[in-house]
Amino acid sequence: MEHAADPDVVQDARRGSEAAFTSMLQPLLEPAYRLAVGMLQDRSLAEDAVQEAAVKAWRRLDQLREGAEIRPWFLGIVANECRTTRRGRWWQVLKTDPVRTAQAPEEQSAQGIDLRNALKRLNQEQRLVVVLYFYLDLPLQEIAGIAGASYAAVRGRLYRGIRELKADFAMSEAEG
Amino acid sequence: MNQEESLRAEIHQTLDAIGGPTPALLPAISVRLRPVSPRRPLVAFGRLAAALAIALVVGTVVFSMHRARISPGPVSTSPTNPISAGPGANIAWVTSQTIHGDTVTGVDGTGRVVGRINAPVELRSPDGTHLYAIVNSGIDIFSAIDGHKERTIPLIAFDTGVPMLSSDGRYLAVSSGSPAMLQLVDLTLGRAIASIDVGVPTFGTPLIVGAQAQHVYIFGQTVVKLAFDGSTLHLEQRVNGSAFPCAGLVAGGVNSAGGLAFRVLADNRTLVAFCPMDGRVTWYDLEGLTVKHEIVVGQQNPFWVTPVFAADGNTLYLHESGTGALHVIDLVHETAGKSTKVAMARWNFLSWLGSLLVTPAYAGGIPRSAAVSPDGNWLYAVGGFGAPGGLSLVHLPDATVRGRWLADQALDSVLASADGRTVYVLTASGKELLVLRADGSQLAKVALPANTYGFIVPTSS
Repeated sequence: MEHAADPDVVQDARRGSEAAFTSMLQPLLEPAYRLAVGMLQDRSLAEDAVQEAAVKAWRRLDQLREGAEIRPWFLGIVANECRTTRRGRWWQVLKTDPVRTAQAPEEQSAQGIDLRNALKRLNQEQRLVVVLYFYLDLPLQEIAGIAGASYAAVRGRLYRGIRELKADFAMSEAEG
Repeated sequence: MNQEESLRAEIHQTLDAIGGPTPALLPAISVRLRPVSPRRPLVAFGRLAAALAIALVVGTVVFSMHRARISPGPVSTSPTNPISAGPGANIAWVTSQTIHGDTVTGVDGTGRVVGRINAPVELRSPDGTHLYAIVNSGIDIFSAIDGHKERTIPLIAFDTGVPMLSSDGRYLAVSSGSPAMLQLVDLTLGRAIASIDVGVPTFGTPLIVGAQAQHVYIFGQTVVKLAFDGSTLHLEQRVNGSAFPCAGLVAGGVNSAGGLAFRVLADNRTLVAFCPMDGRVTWYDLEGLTVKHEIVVGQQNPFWVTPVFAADGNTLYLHESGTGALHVIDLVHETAGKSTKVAMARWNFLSWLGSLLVTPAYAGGIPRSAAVSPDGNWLYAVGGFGAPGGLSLVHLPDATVRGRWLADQALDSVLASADGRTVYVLTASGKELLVLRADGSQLAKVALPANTYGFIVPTSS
């Protein structure tokens, strides 16, 4: 993990420099967006979640500890934002819709839909770890920082997530 | 391409198709930052003022009521009377994750690496002499002396199993979801002695009660009570487990090795379980399968509290590593004693304020920030937040902090050897194991693989 923010830039951002904050944020937007896509499986919801997380990060810059790595800190905020999004009542309505219309053609493959559904059926904490590990390709130690959990717990979640994913996925394939 | 790479490629393909290329998010974010900017100093000042006021009041109360005094001078936690321990019981076993899977490393009291086990070890016997890894075809049993595999006990194959030992270490039960069954093993006989299909859903943590395993429970979405007559298991009772905290017992998960968060009291009918999600201690009647009593000690954050049971099973110590609070629960009288501040990261007023402002995190696993010496006289407690704080020595008879070792170091977890003569400490980085004598002097520093995260502690610890 080599994502400790430049202390001077952090100081400037804390003093209210938008330019400093956005320069810190810029390289994090891609992983943040991918995390949100993995958690929410919806492009516009993911964009909203990242924007909201960025505003919250701006407001909470004082909580970023001196010398702390910024990527896990910010991705942790994005993850919390995704949890909040998923808890909303309107999400429950969307969640019952198994296939959306505005999807890329390649996504329509049966395997892709099966995997999407299998990911959805994971609980939020398992999905977070699975997405960070398999989609953002992050090491478990950094994932622990993002999830606010112990290394062992994160590893346990990953193992259980993989097991459930595989079981679920295999079942869907068999049913198909 | 192996299975992991294959799954990774599929997830990439599926989620890339949903998200597409990353959109230009910065312009929209910049617009939203501007209205916030003028308020920032005011908001920050308001927060700080509020937090200062709260901190002043709380800090005064805490300081006057709970802050323990640390007497200077060296302290030895060596047991007064020698304690004999079984072979291998004094050796620390720590788990690391490598690209090839789990590696469990054994380190003795001189800092020598005595052996390595390449298996997902989940349990250590109550006397510390054996380690157990659950595999689909059975249970692998390893010696804690040097890590060699002693034998494999075959079981009916299952996908995922949750194992648990009886309190004396004679029996081991494995609950599995697929197939949905419970298998009971007599470790002295070296074979499975009974199994039962308990229907769906059964997946949960097994609990063995009685010297001859007269009852076996499964705590999961449902609580299942099974009777064992010496040769067969039969279903006795089944209730919805939703009333039980954490929807089942928390066994620590695969290899989390934080020790057990539950105990059966000497009456063999009362289960006491700590729930790391909400800090709840529950007394559960194993006869009627009902909750008898509950206490909520509270915690700053889920999963910050380490539950440690006293050797006699009558006391539960709850240490919150982030704040240094120690709660003492009398399990027999079902009461919580006065809490004490025993150990925390080096005192820093602003960092303490910061902890008030931290958004509660979603976390998991059972930490191991505290351990009780085998004679029951001392509790070793490490500070939290990965900051220097060292290892505090709490004299349990009067709940006072008598000293602090390694005060400049950030530590993560602690284990006392079975004979009480060695204390093992994992550093916050997880890359080093420190071996200490009972007088605090450091004997050795052992380099560990990067992804080392915890001790495999005996189920009695």
